[in-house]
Amino acid sequence: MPTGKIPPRLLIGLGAVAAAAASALAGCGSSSDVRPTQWSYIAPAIIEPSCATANCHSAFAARAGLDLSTRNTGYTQLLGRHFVIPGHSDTSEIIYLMKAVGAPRMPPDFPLPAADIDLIARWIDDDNAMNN
Amino acid sequence: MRRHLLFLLALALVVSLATARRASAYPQFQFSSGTNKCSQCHYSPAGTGLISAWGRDESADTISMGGNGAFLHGAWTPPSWLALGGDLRLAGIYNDVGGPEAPEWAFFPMQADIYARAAYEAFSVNVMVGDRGIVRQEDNSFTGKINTVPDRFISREHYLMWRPSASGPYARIGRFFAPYGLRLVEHIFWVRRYTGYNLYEETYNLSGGYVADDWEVHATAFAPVPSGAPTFFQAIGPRESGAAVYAEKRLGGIAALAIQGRLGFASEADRYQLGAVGKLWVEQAKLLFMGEGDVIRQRLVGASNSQIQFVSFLNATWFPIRGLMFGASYERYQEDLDVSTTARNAVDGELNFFPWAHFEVVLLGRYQWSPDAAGISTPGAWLGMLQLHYYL
Repeated sequence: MPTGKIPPRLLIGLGAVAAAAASALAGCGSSSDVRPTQWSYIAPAIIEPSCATANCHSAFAARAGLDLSTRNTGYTQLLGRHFVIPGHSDTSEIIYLMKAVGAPRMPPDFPLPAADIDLIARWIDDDNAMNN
Repeated sequence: MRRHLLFLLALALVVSLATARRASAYPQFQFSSGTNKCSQCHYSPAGTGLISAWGRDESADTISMGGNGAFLHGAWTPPSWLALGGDLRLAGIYNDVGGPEAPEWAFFPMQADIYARAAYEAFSVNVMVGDRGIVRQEDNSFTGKINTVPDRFISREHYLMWRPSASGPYARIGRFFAPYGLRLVEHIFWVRRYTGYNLYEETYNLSGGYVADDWEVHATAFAPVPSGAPTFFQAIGPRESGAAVYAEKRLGGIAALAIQGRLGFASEADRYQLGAVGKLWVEQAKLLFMGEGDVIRQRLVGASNSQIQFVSFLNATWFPIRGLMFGASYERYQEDLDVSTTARNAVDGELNFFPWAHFEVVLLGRYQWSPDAAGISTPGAWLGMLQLHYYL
């Protein structure tokens, strides 16, 4: 049953949790993007958690015939169906979809951070980095 | 009255053949409803899923504005060794992410799950079966494995449990979410989505723990669903194997502090997570504060690269009168702490109204935003959702 009194130890603990969470408000890191322009980074770090969800491009839903649930299937299908044109981010459909230019936005539940779209564009433009 | 209840049961079963979604758990009710631990109201030792007889009483006497929380409103009582239940949700959403087709409106059956628990002395078999709920199904663009009706069904939970008493040790084996985090209902919250607890990411587990009056601990070893298993069992998300630990200490019947860890290993990326959960109930103000923060080291196997991620959830929920609660939340997810422009933020407002036992109306509003970068602006995104929820 509730006693209504908050033990000091608990207040300290809860304060620490709140402080840790609140510290995120200010943000961390640099504005320069040093992440690798590699599909082996982009697939599991950005594409799969954002796109291969239950109702979208998981192996089960495969909406629009696109399965992005693994690195290999995602790579094969994005290139095979010309969503990605190596060396040409300016004409790659995936960029138009992510920016919602003349097409419904992808993903449809939340715009990807601009930094992620820029990283994907740089990966497309880097011929040497395509499938690694 | 009986005819009305039978109609509701028939309706529930029909709808359960047509759709589904998530395990129901309301971490807001810990302390605020006078219950000290989640397993007082749920058969699961860590909460979520089928509610117990105690939970059914609480759902009418404390949480709703009235009614009878018993199975089928008390029209029929299962034998003591059997417990049954179900969740049905219809939803309407307003979604605006910008672009030529925004905003979007959608109405869909969100959840239809049925639960059963059969017990013999200290052992019980627990099963949940439902349909994979589908948003935007009207566009007929599904080409995966859920085009036929049988393939749309999923059993997200099925496990054998040994639990000799409500307090003390327990063990269970089977499929369920390893105890971790706040165990929020809504899977859209980032502390679920980015920690391995998104929709249909339940794993196969060997789990055990100890639940006492003022503390509990849960430890779980997990593995992915075998790739060759029937569609009925298949999951979504990274195919991780690993372990999770959650330890909670409750103090004064009004607060809890928990620490947690999770290791997940998969072919493309490994995740090492460490987090904390806190809750504080302020009786005088009828306010519950709760929060979760997790630091995740993600090791990208193929890229030989590692990054530290952060995901958090802070919430205050006000209970002005019985049957009503308002919640306000702030969320943050940063994909890589070295790159500030990978941050995402969200604020959420939620109203839950329980006019009568078995019935709930949910209104959810959400705004998400992230910073601009590299000359690209990132628009904010609005989500509004109405849910009509009925549980058996």
